[in-house]
Amino acid sequence: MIDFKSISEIKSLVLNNPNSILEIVNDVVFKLNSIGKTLDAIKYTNREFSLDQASKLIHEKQYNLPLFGVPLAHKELFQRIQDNDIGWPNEAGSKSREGIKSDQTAEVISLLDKAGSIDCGRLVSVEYAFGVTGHNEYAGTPKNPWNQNYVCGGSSSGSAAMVASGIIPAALGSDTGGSVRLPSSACGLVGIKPTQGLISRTGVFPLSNSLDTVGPLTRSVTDAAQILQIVAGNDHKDLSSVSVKIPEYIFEMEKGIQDLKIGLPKNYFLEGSDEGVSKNTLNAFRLSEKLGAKCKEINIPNIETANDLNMLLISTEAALAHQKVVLERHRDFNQQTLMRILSGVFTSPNEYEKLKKYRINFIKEVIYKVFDDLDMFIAPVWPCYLPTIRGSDAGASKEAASLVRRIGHNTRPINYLGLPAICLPTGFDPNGLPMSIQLIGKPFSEDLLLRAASSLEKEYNFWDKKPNI
Amino acid sequence: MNGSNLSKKILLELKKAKINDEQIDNVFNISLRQLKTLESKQIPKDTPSSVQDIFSDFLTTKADD
Repeated sequence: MIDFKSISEIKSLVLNNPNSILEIVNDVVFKLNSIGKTLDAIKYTNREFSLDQASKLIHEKQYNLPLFGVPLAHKELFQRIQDNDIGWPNEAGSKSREGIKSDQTAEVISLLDKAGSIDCGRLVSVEYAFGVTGHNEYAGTPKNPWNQNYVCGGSSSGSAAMVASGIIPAALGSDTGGSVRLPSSACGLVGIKPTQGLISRTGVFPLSNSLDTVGPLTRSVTDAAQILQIVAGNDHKDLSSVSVKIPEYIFEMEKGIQDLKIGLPKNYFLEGSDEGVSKNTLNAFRLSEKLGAKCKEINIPNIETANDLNMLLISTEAALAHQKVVLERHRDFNQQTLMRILSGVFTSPNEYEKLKKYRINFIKEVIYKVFDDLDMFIAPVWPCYLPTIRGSDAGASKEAASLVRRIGHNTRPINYLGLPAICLPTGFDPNGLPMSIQLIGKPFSEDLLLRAASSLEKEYNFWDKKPNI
Repeated sequence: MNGSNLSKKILLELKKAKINDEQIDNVFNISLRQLKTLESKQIPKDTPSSVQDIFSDFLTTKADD
């Protein structure tokens, strides 16, 4: 019914016949349970709740709501408690949290409710959102809709699988080291990792207090802008939240790429990338110039250690937040998650303080040096072609450490910098799996990123490409 | 964290649970490498208090340009 439709197309459909929302929601919940199960991507649906939400919307006739009747589903880290105090599962993809229910509704979920969307369920996450490939022995390892032998990437793997399947137009994910961008890239989606502090994390299961961000995964730049418009904004309950003026993203987006200043880092990002990945990034850079952007090569100072320090900060804060459950239920963890949390146990309080202070100084150095005369820079997302599920199932082996480190090579430094980024699909690798680039901007420049991404999107025309499920 | 009783308990529990010693060594070595990277970094005395402060200053500077 709404397969592969954009948010605007769905809105037109339901405004034309508001009662059709019920039928659409029924169909979406059915497909989440059928296709979602086939792809190991669905965690939870509640048809009764979703239909009730739809009925209320029809009854209240608030047709001007920006997401009126648009069905969505989100990563399982986003909590929801119903009016009757029934909480949706809050297991964060882990047997160690089996049976735990939500005790609140995430702020961003409330914002989407108020905007008129219908919440159709929760989608599989990597355990504790701590993984780049998407493997999860407990909740399931989502299969890539473009080729089910391949990974979806992590950790918002279920979100990516269900949006790429065309069942829902958008889903929220979380990004601490690449967890929105890696799955978006793997599944041919647009994904936004916002500036640290732009979007509330209240009611979202935490991995790393300093680095966690929330962002949408969609099939188009316009859909991403529409979701961002709803969820961006200050939240006094989230101490990382920042009060800034939120632009009209759709309006800004239409200004195009002309005169935007775009850089291509000569250091770090293309080092160690597969040849095809580098070529894809260079092509996007040249295309930007052809479309009227002012392009130049740049250097990012001291970026070489940002991946390792981001990994250290994540594991240190994950160990701090979850050490009690690790102590009590370590047998219930996937080995890789357990080992990664464990690696944060060795950080002393003084080292933790130094880690945070170094980060602050590093951010200051980079944003003033890089963005003095630049709006954004281009980099790859994955440094390599997408691996298969079997080929990247490294568990907690010695090889796993280097695999995890390599896959996050281009994404973790951006979380460490707290900067916004947008992932944009550009085409396919030699195995027929999607490839992408990311545009990384100065703080709170999501409007500029959307401008550039929208112009490039028209050239790549990825919207018309659909996986054969 | 190192020095916290809970973290020592975690390591003890894992040893008791016979989690592969080699795995724990791997994890320790990764952590050690990352901590050495951190050790090599210099921290200026006038460190801003938060990421939010830097972003706010940056936006103000750019607005003044």
